[in-house]
Amino acid sequence: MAALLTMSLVGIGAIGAPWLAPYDPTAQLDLLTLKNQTPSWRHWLGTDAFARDVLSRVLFGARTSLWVATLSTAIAMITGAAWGALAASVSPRWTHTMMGAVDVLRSIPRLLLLLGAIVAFGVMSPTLLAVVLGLTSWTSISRLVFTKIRELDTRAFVEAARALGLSRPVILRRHLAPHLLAPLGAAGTLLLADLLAIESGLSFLGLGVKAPMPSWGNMVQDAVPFLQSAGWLAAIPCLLIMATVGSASAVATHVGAGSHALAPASIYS
Amino acid sequence: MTGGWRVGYRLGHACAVIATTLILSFALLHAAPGDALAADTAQGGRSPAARAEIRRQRGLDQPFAVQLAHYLGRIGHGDLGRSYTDQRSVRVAVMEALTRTLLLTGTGLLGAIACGLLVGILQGWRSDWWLSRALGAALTAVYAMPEFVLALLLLSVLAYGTGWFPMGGMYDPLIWVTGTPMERLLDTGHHLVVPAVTLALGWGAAVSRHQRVALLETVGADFMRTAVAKGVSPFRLLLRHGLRPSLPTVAAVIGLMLPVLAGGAVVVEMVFGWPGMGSLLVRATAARDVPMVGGAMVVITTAVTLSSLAIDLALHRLDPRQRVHAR
Repeated sequence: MAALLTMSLVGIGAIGAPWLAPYDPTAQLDLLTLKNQTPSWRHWLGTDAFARDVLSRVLFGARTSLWVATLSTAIAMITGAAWGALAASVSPRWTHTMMGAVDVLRSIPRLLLLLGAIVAFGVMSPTLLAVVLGLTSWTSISRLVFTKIRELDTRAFVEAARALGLSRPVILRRHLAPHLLAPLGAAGTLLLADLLAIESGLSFLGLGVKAPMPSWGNMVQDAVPFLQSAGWLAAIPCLLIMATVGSASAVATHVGAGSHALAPASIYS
Repeated sequence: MTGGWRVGYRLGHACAVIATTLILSFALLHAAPGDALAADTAQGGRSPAARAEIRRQRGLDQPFAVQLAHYLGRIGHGDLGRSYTDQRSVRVAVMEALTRTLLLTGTGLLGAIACGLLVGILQGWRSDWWLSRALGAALTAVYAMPEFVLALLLLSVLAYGTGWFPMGGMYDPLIWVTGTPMERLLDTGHHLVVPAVTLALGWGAAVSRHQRVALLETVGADFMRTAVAKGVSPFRLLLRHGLRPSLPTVAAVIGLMLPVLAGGAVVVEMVFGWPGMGSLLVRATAARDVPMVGGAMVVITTAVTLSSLAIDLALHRLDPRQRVHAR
């Protein structure tokens, strides 16, 4: 559907940026004459306030934003799934402790955790930012995995596997994991949308990806002084963010998240 | 779980959260490069011996646990430290900013409840009306936008475009200095409108979704048909029979939004230049003002945890179904 098409386009743009982009995204071309140019044949999306080609910045921005979003999602999924699976497989006392810790971590507003990390680490490369984002967002995945495994443990085939003498890691890998793929796929896509929105928000505030490296969020920030005079500078990255986040959410819905929290979350949920 | 256990668990959980935050905040102070000494040491000022002496005086050479104890003691007395950037008391700065933020987010939340409930009810009750569909589509679009997009949109339309509303800030300095209290109040209100509307629309979209779903579920129920068969007037039908079951769902959503009240609508505050917690946090983070960020973290999390606890316990008592089913 349209959502998958959008995401593929964005993906291709992001991966192919070094070859597709007509200009270097950080090159300031001709400060005297080329500031805030409207879209033209030479610059398909125009130029920004520093005479940088917007199309190139958009492509590289896609690359950066998607890199951060994908890496952080992967980290969150792996950490969350591991924690959840472990919590579902140990003795009850440890289970209570582990999931209690998850509850506590969940209750601290995520924005504060993120800001704390940003303050501690100072200027962060996109990769480090992704790691920080991932490590603060895994709690929902762990709860999902935990409840699902607990539910599956009551089924007959698990009992049979235990009776056959299979060890817990083997049961997890061979028998339980296939059942987790669908819910995890949906939750992961939703998380991707969520983290992309958060990264844009942080970059917009100047706390995420730092200039001059382009990210859709900081492109919007750069464009704010020119809202009236060069409106498209803000509109283009905004629309792209909305489109990408929206399509990711739509894909997640179709894969069957079934959860009530369907929107890209804000940075403080 | 039984009532008593439940309260105990929730209290324990709240304490754990606050304790964790305190420890995290302390760790932040400790781990971030540049301890308190960096703030008041001039560029290349003192000799290593002098620095060591100052460290000893301030207790910065004590073991971790001792420093943590000191830190917790200070917090207990309400001392949250001093900002690295301008030496202001963190507590004073945070409290001031908190009141300003609560003004904004409180208004926004009221607007969100009003708007969200109205649209949700409309969508659930009269779902085929063109107005319901139009509003629904509009709110879905709003729901999908990141906050800053909505904020920028409203800023350009309502402030730049029409000139009806100011472009940012909380008040006009001229009016603040020369105006009567009434004029100042009106001026603040004038500045409040656009950011509050932004928040109201954004949150209202979430509220309306839940209200709509809850109401749609209720409308199909058997007891509704009974009520209609009995001849209950439409208004009474909606009010007493339709809305009652959706109360817990919606109250829960509103409860979920409480964390944002204190945390501050960071993006909205930055876009509109509203001098609240959000702006404070962002500026402090950018300036690596660790005491400020840590202090804000503690205050916000405590406020959020306590209010969530209160709401959760209150809801539990209010919902007759839960009381029946609890063992």
